Amino acid sequence: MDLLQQFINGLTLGSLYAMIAIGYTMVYGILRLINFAHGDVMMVGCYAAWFGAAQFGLPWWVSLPVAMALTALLGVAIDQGAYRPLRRAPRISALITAIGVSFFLENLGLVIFGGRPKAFARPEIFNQIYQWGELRVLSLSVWTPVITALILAGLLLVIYRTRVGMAMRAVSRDISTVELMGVDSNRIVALTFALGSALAAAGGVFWAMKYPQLNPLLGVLPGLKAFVAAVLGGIGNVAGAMLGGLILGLAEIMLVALMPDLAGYRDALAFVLLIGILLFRPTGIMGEKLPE
Amino acid sequence: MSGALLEIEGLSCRFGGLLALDSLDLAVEPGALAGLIGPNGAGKTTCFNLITGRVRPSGGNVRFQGRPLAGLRPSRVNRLGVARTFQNIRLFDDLTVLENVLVGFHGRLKANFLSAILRLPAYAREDRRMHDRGLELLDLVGLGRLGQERASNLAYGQQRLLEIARALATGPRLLLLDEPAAGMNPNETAALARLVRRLRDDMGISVLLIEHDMHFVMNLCESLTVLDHGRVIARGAPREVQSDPAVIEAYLGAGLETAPLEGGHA
Repeated sequence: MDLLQQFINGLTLGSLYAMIAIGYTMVYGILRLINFAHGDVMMVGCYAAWFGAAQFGLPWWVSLPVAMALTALLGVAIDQGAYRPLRRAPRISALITAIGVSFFLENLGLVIFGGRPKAFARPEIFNQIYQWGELRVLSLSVWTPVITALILAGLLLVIYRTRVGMAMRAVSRDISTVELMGVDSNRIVALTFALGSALAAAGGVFWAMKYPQLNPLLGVLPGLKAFVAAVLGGIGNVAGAMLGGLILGLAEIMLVALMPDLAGYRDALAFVLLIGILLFRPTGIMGEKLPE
Repeated sequence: MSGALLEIEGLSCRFGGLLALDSLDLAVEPGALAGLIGPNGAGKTTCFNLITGRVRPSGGNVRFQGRPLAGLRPSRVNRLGVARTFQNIRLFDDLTVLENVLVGFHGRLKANFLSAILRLPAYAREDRRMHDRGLELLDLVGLGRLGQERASNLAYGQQRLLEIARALATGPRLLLLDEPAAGMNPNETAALARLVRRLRDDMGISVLLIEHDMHFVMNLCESLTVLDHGRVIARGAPREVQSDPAVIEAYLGAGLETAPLEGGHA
């Protein structure tokens, strides 16, 4: 019983990592850029939802999409303002810029939202206890994987069943050839940032419901862990990011559940996994072969 | 100016100390089947890269239908009606054969992301039409049965044909073919020549091609421009060019093992 409960918790945490990891992997797939600001984009998504819910009294099913839309705009703005001018520059320039954007968002968050943590009220529907026999689970833990699965199914539908998704897949193969076929690659890149950022916001809102204290640095750790999840699954591969997120979430919870003595090393686990994967299978579980 | 489809004047391109293209003048008339030949490293592909906006010229200008192409993004140049294929094949390996062609349509479509998500009727109609048109293009190049195959599973010669179909999907008036016959066997090459002629005769697409297979070039092209070390060394009808001493010198002097111009008589 206990194990099943832990399994559900792991699935919940893994879903959150998966949603955030996808933004890393999509941007990497297209621009070969690790967008280190992604965790902070998620943080902004949390605050956007908080403003919607706490300040304007919007129900969660309104404030979630609104936060996703606003965060999508932020993602596009970051790309346009910070990364696009560096499209032809060496890759390391864009990487350093990403770290700069990350610091910028964190400190802008401190200025605007202040350092005092804000309480994120959990909507009623996610704050109940479901009980089946001896199994007692918070409704949030049940709904998070379900809603994540729906959102990810929608994403896969966009990528594999629409023309825009086809263009995205083509751009991730060869951006300059797509240009020569008359496709404006900047629009495709913008869309990628929009989708990835919207997913980060969704992940962030559920993260904030799970750990209902908002502060401007809250995106750092989940951001880094989601990055590990993306590398674990094979960066550049969307299905891999989902898988990597689930594995990481389950591994963390199971570490705490099965080896309580090691519970303090919970956060270290992700980075041990990262070192392991980089040593033994650098392209990740579902990653493609490295080009020459 | 004259009624040329593509006019190139004094086009130069310098990579560091190397003058890859040295004030090239070239005109392609509407309905032309023109060839650009020359030894390896003569600047032929560079010329294509300059026309399509992949590489910025160091000097000179290119006009297409009277409109200057300087500074335009590759996607804009393509939408004005210039499409190309690549010497080293650059298909989208992961996509199916049909999807590769559909990417070529993408830039011309009206429907946006929102109508795709909402599956509006206009989107579905456009989708249907594009799909049918893609299959037609695959039929045209002889890949009609392979639409659902992954592009990377095609044989080499078929990949070259798919590149042509993908380029055609963008609706070009001028098609730039970069060594379309490379790696093809004689049967495939003959079929390719028939295809290129049909594109011009039936679809009114002008063609400028780079090719090393002299048999193919001499039989297909109606006018040739010969480059060597970035400069034009000869131009004219295939027969004239073939016997030009400067051309023979360029090829033989460049150390090619056989005289490539022999094929023209066959």
